[in-house]
Amino acid sequence: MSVLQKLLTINPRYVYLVVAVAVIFPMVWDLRLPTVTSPPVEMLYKEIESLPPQSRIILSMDYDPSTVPELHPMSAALLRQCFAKGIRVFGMTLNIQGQSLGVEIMDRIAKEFNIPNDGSQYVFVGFRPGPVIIQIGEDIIETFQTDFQKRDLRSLPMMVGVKNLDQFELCISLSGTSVGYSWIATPGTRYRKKIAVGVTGILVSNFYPYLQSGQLVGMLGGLKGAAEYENLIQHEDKAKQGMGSQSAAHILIILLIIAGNIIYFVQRRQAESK
Amino acid sequence: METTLSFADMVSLFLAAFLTLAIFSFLWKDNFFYKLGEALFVGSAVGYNLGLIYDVIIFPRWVTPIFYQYKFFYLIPTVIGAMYITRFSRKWSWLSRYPMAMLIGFGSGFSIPYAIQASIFKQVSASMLPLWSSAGFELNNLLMVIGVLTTLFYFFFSIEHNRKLVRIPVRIGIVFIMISFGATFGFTVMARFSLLIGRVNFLWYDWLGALFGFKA
Repeated sequence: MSVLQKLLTINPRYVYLVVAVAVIFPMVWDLRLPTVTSPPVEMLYKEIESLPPQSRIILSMDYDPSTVPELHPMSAALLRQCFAKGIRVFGMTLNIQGQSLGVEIMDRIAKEFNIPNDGSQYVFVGFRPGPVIIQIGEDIIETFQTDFQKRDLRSLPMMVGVKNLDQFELCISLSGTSVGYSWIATPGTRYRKKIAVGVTGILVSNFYPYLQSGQLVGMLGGLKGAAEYENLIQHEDKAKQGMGSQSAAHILIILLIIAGNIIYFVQRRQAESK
Repeated sequence: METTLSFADMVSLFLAAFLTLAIFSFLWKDNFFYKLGEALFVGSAVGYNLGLIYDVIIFPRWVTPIFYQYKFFYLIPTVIGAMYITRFSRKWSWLSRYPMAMLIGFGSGFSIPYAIQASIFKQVSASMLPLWSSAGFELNNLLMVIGVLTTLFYFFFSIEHNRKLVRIPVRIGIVFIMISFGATFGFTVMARFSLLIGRVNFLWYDWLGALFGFKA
């Protein structure tokens, strides 16, 4: 058996091992690579920076544990920027398993800024099924009624004077599903609200057309988008920690693709010459 | 800020680490620990979802209005919703078509106009771009227009793609489609590795870091 044939029939466990090494070693050595900020990320950052203090935004954490590595760092970075600027955040989720993730991240980041959970700077209403996206345009208080801790929304300071989406400057949906389209179609198109999304890497190319058409005011794509945002707010966290491993893994994949192609063409030439 | 983990935190950390490694063990081969992790995941996810649905939807939106506030008109949507369950009966399954018809009718009626506006009209208008602006010739806009037109050519199946006039735009369209597939593949690789990195990050910083006292 030739070397090429041996490489083609290699036990996949060796490939897993090489991938594991590529991911683990940069983390062990704490390899931090520079991050270049892409325009969609910068657009969202500037959009939030342009809001005056005490503005209200909706942060919909529409994701579950399966996409936490990519989307949770985005939530953390966005919350840090908002809390640092005094922007009030209305947290919600359209994903049933996003409820405990949402309350965890909001409370944790609020604690970093010594913001009490009294409903003055942030509120988390928890999970509601998808159709609420239609209702919030008409009456947000009636739609949710209570927050995650069963407090009446009318009694919370940041909800005073709130009727519907008109009192919110921006809606951000973080998701690993196509729910972002619903945010674009309903609050974005029907109620003409500014929409931004944070999506998993797989969905990035699907949302680019909406960015180009101006239907999105910004977009964070995958772990890289989260790392760029951490860079912008100057607070390195989980996303930035992972970028060394991400780069090493990408180099490995590029090498594997090149090697695979070389083997394929060499084998084809050998077969033709025979 | 130095934080000390409680016993409960340590137990949950070890459990999470064990389950992560149990799932990863599938890479070696299917085994008891993988099956245990899988079963625990499915069971706990279903239990969690059911409990949450009762807590967030059924109790406040159904039990409370009917049994505590005596709003008996809630029984009308209850009956309509309950018709879904008739799917399990051959004799009565026709009843399930009514709630389905209502849901599909409302859903389509509400979402189609906005979906068309958001995904077709705005996208079409955004692809009609000027090739010259005050800044001069817009190469990006030209590429965008060529990309849209040639890709649409590729999906026009009423003319044979071998014909002279069609062959070149179709070939260019294929190039644009391939670039799009390449970008999607690249982003998918990034996403999949991000998930792996998330777990490795947990094992290294959160679990081993807590155990041996080092942190990021």
